[in-house]
Amino acid sequence: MGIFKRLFGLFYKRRTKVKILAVGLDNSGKTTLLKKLRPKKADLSTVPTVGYEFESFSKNGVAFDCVDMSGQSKYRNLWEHYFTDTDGVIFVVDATDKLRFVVVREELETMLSHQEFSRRKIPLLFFANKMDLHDAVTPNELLATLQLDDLAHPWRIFASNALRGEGLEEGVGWLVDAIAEHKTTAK
Amino acid sequence: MNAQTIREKITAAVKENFKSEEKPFVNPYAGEKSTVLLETRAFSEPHLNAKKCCHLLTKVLYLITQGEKLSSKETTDLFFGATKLFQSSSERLRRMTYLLIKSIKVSETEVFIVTSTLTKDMSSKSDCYRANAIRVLSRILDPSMAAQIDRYLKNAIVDKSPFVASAAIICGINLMRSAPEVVRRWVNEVTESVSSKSPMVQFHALGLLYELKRNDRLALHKVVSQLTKSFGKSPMAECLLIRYATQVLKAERDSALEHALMDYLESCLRHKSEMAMFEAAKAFCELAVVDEQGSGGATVFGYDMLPALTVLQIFLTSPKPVVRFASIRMLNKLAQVRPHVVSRCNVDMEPLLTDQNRNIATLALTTLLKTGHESNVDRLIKQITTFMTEISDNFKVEVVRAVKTLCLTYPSKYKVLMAFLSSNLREEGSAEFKKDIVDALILLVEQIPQAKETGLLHLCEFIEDCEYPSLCTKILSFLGNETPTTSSPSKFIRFIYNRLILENALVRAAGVDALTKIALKCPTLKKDILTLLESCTTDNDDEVRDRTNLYCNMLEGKMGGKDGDLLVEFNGVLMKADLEFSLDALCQTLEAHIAAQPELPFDVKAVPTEEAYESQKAAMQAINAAKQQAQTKAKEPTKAPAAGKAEAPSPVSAPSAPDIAAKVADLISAEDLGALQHSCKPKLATESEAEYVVQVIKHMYINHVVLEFVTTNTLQDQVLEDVDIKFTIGDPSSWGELGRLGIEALPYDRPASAYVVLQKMHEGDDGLRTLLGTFQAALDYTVKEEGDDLGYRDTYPMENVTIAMGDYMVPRHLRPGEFKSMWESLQQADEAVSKFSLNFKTLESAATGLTTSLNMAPCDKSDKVDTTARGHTLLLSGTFIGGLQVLCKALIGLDQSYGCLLKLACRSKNPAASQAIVHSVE
Repeated sequence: MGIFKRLFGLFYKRRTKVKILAVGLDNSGKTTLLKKLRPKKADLSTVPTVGYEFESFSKNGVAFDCVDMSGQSKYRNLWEHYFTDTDGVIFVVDATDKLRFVVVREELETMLSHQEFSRRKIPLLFFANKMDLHDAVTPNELLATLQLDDLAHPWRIFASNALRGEGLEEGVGWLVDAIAEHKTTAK
Repeated sequence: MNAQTIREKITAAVKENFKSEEKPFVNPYAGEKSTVLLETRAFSEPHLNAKKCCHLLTKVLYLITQGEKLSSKETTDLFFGATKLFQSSSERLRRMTYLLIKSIKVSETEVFIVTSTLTKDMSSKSDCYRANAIRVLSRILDPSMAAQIDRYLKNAIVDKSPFVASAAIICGINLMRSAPEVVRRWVNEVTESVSSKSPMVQFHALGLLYELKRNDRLALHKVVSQLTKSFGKSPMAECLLIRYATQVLKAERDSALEHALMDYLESCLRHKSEMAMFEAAKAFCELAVVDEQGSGGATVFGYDMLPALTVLQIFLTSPKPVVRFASIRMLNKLAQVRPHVVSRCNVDMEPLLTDQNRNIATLALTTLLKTGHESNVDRLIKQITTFMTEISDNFKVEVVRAVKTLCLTYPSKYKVLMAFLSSNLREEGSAEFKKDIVDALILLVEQIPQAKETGLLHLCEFIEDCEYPSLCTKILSFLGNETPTTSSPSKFIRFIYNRLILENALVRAAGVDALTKIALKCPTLKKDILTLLESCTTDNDDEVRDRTNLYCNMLEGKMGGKDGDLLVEFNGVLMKADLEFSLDALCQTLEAHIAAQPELPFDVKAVPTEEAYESQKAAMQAINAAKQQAQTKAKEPTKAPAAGKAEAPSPVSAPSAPDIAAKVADLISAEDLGALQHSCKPKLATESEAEYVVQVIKHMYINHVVLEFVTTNTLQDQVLEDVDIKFTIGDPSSWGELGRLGIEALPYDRPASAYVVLQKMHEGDDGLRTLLGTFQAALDYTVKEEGDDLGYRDTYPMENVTIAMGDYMVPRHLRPGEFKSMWESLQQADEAVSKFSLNFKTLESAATGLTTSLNMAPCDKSDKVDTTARGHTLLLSGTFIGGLQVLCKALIGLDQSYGCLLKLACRSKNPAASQAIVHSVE
């Protein structure tokens, strides 16, 4: 019996599929980060994304369907078209780009003001990326600058280094839990 | 035996099957727009069901092809939904997604979101992905992005797979519009693909190559003539090439090129493929329209039409309906220009009248009507009648027109043709169709005297039961004009009287008019008609009642004395088909008359004609505008006087009427000057490359002529000051100079105008005030070169300024065919005729010389002279000063002993003017 249950559980877990949206300003490292999450070792020389790209991978027994949005300013207004059916959002911030934190804040606000976000408590996972660089701010500082405390959504911030994959596991792990929790509460 | 039973069983089974399928067919893809769009939410489901999505996409595409419009929000939602489908790896679904993106119009700001996905697909391994991605890309690329993926596309053109190569070439064709410079870099690859093995690639590559070379004439010629020599083209490419060759031939006449291309076209008539054969024959027919010189003969650019016709003739008997249709349609077009050439196919066209396809039958019929011979008209008409009810209104109109022309060609057949037309009047049909028939009948009645009574009776029958008041009134007025000349006008009165009882006010009024006209022309019927009109004197419509009362009084002769004179006058006016004065003007003059001197009789002759009235009105407006301008100027005393301002250099070469009146206001007041009749075309009075270029514009007034000298200084380092016109009048008894207006300063390249106002000293021998004259003129000015303050006085001679008869004339263009009826409407008694011997070497130069010297417009293409003929008839039309319409018929002949001979006949309502015009040629 135990074996069956485990097998079934495994099977069931395999089938769990979540849809994630990866957003953030240009050159914050979204594509690199997602590629790193993929088990297949892809080459990490990325070019700026035009429009969007699909990434699929599984982590912790959950299949991820991830839409990697382009962060360039002229494409940002397209993000909203993918909000509707997303289970969670990965928001990548370039921790060294202090100048544009205000832009990040603005984009975040725009996103949160979308009706889809007021309707559902979509979990938000922040990555303070490029922590390996010496002028990167710490997650705590970033948290303060972006005023994340006021968020009504479940959220968490992690420091990450997308190039080497540091901090990603923890972040994604949290996100999976948060989504599962959100789904059960929603039910 | 066994086989027999099996067969029976199968037939039974099949029948059974068909029975079950007799249920109404339900399209699985049809659906309500909102429902379908709601269903497309499935695109966002976490587990994509490829099959379901495919079905949905088909539904959406079906909607779009049905003409359903999507709002921009719907489009956006649909589009972003579709972008999510790129996750799926199903090839079928991907293909449908491509199709959808191509067929919806996504806004530019959104559509490029798929660019990266498409570029990824473009470099994928699957040909299907590659080709389709390229096709979609071609719709959404902007120039900068096109340059980025230029390399991929270039490779795709020479790809092994014809599917991909074709897609890339099509992408090129689309890009020609948005980013031509990118596509121009592909010339080599495209040229290579033209000789590809795949027919599709060949076809598309040829299309793109043409687009590339299209603006470069020589290169295009080279490409086309080179390609015509190469062999092994697919039929599709061959067709395209034939079309391009035709276009080249149409665009330019170049004998060497013509020869090569026509050889090619002729060889294509013997092509293996039906398609190419037809295309070549079509090319011949189209060129026959262009090559007017060949019309009359059976050649196109010197090549015989016969082989092309034989091809079409063979196609007429083809078992495929589309081939028959194509060929009969071509023959129909050709019949419009060269009916006699087409007539040799008559034998094969006749069976087509019974063709199952009604379109083919109608085309065959209209063609036959054009080419038909007198002997088989009866048979044709019988055949048309059988299927008139089965064809659409457009075709019916077509048939009516053909019958009309046929009737004009063979007047003896009018009985059959008119019977046909009138029977159709009684059938169901649109207003346009009815109107066409009525027009045709009216035309036939006018043109064919013996058909008059029958035609009129047909028309009468029609108005008995006509639902269109406009047609009814038209026919009634026509009846009023025509019936008095028939043998028994009384026959028609009954029909008209019925209208008075049964119809609405509009038609009743027209009926009263018609009856009165008949009564005036046929005194014997007067009494009867008066009795009939009696009933309408108490009509409840004001207009009808008023008219009837007026007519009754008139007919009874109750108006005596002065009113009697007026009656005679009015009578004359009423009897004329068209009024010789403008109605607006009549109203205006009548009002003025009543206000000023109501006791005096009114003179109808004082009312100006339509054209004269129009020009007067324009002139009056101009004068009023000028007056207003003057008034506002008077209110601002600080401003320079009007004349000074008018002298400011203006770049306008032909100023409008108010300008002139305002500019010469110092020399003559606008009231004295009167209304501007017209302005002649600018004429150079110096060489066009002289130091100072002067153009003379003559502004014609009734009693004056204002000469405007538009002067341009072409020397960069000079300024002319105090420019004056030195003007010598040779004949002071005819012309007097009222004054001149110079130019203060004339800098480089800033044209300015000087004016001379001339007065006509007497009315001329014929009282027309059309004085002629020649004047010597020269520029008189102070030259100031750069840095020179003083300058020196100098003069510059101009050519003589002449005022010729042509200056009193304005060309008036008539519609084709209008000349004849207008010519006949003018009295022959007023015709002025004279014979001349002219100093022209060819007919053509004589015709153009005459046209320009009289300054009239050639009518009915009579300016095109057949160089081989010995004589030519030139028809000219113009408006003489004072709004008098003038028509001229010139017979020009070339004689070896006498040179060029001319017989000029001129008709107008004023015999003196006609005389003057004829004599001006001397």
